[in-house]
Amino acid sequence: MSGKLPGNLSVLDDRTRLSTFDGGLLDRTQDPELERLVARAAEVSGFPIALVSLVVDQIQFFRAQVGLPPDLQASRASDRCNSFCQYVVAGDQPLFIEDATQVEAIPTDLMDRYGIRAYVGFPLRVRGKTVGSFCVIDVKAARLEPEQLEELSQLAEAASARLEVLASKWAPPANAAEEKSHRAWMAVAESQALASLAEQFAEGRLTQEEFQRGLGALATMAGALEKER
Amino acid sequence: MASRIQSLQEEHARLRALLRNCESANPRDLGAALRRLEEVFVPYHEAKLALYETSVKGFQAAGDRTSVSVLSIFRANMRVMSTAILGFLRAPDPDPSRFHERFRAVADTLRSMLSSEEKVVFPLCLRQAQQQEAQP
Repeated sequence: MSGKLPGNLSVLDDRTRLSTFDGGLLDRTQDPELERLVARAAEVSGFPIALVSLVVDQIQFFRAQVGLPPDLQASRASDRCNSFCQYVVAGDQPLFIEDATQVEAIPTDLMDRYGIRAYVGFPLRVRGKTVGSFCVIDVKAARLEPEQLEELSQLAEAASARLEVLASKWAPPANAAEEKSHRAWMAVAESQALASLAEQFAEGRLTQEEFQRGLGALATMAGALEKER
Repeated sequence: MASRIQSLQEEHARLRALLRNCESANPRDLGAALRRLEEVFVPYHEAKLALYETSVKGFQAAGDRTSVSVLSIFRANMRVMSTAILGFLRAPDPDPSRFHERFRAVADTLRSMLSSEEKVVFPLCLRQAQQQEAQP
């Protein structure tokens, strides 16, 4: 268990890692098994938020969640570059942050926007690649006991096993045409976060303030997707 | 303005029908169905950008900052989603089964965008036009 952030984030952009993400992983319909695991993680830790967070190309996608604020429930995503989960993936090891305000070099966006303080995340692996973090989050500084961490670690392993099943339908891209097609599809899958936010705002389920906050948490992704195509 | 919105709403109906065509097309007809969707989507997208432009300018002139903000957000979102959708249509997956599964995300995104614009953007644009017409 470490509170030290890895300096090298290049593994996040590894094409083999990114090719792991396909329909089963980035599907926005709830998976009861993953939902059960995050609910249990929140109970075990006593932290209000628990996630299966998949660290994708531009975003972290919340494949399962409990306790998120309404705008993040709507988008099920925030910018990868501001996430804590990216460090779990880059370091391929658990990350424990008691008080994020005391950690140098950690992005402050989620602290400023949502008041995130404590974070405990375990790597999620599919096909031998670290795809995300099984994490619990609190809005106040906190630490967990060894037996809580042990149970969270077991829940993370169960979540990895479930993700492995969800990802098993398709083989990774095998040639340039498949790779190009996969990248194009991933851009659509990631932009669904924006579509979902707009939809919930249009249906009156988000206030304008929540809508704008959710968009702010995705500003880097929106800019990058628009620029690179 | 009302006729432009009416025309865009008709395009929405066409796009929804074309999405259904793509979803049900057999592998032999899929390429043609996708091309047809792209052919309709590109000019529709340009017409909608022009509508946003006119309405944002109108609200700016009237000093309605809230409406400018909402329209600007929707315009930025629409650009990102449309660019991603066009990228997908121009790089279809060679495997028909996988294509159909992935196309679900595209269809969901496009339908969601159409529906949100009908609920938020078109009424705003219409209101802006009515305000402008009511001015002496």
